[in-house]
Amino acid sequence: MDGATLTVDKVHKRFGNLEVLKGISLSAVKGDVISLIGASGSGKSTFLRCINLLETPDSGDIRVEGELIRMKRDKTGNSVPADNRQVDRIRSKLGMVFQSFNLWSHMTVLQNVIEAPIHVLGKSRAEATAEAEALLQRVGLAERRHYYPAHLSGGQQQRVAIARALAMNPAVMLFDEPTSALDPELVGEVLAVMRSLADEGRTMLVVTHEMAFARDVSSRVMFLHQGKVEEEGPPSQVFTSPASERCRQFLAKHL
Amino acid sequence: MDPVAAAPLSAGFGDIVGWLLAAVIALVHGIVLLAGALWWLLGLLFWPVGQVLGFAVDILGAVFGWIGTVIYDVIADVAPGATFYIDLISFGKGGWGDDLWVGLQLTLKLAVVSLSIGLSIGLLGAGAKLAPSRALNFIGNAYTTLIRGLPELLTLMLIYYGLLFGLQGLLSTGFLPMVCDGAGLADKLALIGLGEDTARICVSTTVEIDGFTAGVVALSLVFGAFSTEVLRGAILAVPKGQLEAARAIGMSRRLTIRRILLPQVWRYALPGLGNLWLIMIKDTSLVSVIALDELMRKTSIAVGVTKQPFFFYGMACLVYLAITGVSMIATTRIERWASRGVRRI
Repeated sequence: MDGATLTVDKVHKRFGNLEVLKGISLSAVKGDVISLIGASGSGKSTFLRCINLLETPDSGDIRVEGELIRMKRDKTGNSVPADNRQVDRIRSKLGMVFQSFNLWSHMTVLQNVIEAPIHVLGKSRAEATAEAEALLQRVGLAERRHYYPAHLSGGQQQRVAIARALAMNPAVMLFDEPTSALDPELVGEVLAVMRSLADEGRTMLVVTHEMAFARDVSSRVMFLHQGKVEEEGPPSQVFTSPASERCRQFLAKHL
Repeated sequence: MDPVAAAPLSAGFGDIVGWLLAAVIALVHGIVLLAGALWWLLGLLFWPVGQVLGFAVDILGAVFGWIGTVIYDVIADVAPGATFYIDLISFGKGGWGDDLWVGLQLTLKLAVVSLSIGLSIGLLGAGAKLAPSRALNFIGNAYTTLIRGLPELLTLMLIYYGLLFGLQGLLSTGFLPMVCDGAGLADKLALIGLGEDTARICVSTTVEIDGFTAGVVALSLVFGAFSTEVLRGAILAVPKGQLEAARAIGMSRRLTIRRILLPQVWRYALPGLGNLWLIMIKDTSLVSVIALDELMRKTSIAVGVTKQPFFFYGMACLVYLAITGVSMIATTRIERWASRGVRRI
């Protein structure tokens, strides 16, 4: 699809009787940094998790680098992936960073970063280790590579999680409230790493409550409300003259 | 062979029954082979150790034998009564040391074989209980409810006499040969390569089940049922987010289980499994009631012959404590290894 790195078309998702996503669409070209903002329960995290199928969307199309994730209906009519191998392959192109880091606690920092390159991409241990060390250098944790996650601060763990995702050289990075579980004084170091990724032209989707980051770093901002895109545009427009009254109220509370 | 009875069986139904029976026999055969291979492998692994140890024991034996005779003479001088007890546990004639040693070996063999089979059953059981399938959940629940609800001694009796009389009963009614014939079991067994040896089951008129097999089956089932629960809890204790992170980075379900889930399952399961292992070592003594000459039974025999109950039961006590003590040290070490990267409080 005309060079778009990621396109999402009218994604719907319901949990039981609650319709969480009511047809959300998005298109990102290479280098886009899109911030998803909105109140809790607006569906922004669910939307992010639908993109790499951690949640299965009920309907809608998702394309990564032009490749459509094929879905089918199971016996009870639920939407399920048609080909699990394809899902695994596409997921490896979508680097996900979680709110609660989710580092593998039985592995050292270095082992966490080289795990997927070796076992998913089939790289050699030597190659994966060399790349991992460069990445750890980049997020400022090279000296901690033989530590276990339990012995790192939250900010350090999140930077390792970012390095782990980067090691797959993903087409798009998905950040799910990456600083929400951090102590205030640790937020800065993670945001700095994310900012440097944006500067080098990484395509990023960021669910965040950090309005300053959304305003200063992103190329586009989407404000979600009750499962719909309520306001969308460049940060200059969304933050200074939002068309939606709800967006105005939300920003008034969070700026 | 009654042709009237054979006719309906030899139809498609008989074929299915035949294949089912053949599959069951193949499975049992496989388990027995596996147990044998496991034991053989263990032997092979520890063969050099055994050689070295044996050599060391020979030298030490010579040295301590000499020291021993000196001490023995001294004791004989100081306390003539004590030599009586030393004679009782000597390895020579009139001593029971060699008998107890043989019993100890059988006890360990029983425990180790049952541990490996029981742990495999436990993993399957935990998998069945957590599977998104009602039928598998039911099988898992029925198994653990039944086995955990029965005294171990009763389980052992049911398996030993159940198999014995069950098979014997089948043989005496001629039902088994009839089914075998009707289902063409011998041919099918030959076809899957189990041959005449196994097919004898169809024509034999008496069954013998040795105490070791019955003991292994019973102890494995018991260990399997309890470890099912331990492993189920351990699987649920692994943080879900870590599994999600693995799937999100493109790891397949199988890879996630192998690389992320299982290594951490051990961390949570080991304390519980260590407990079960200790309990099983002690449960091996139950197998003495079906006349398997393990440590407990050898001890009882020694008591019967020598009329020295306190002395021999005391010796058995020390031996069991030695096994469990070594086990506890080993499990602590393994736990420490499995909990690497966990902050200790």
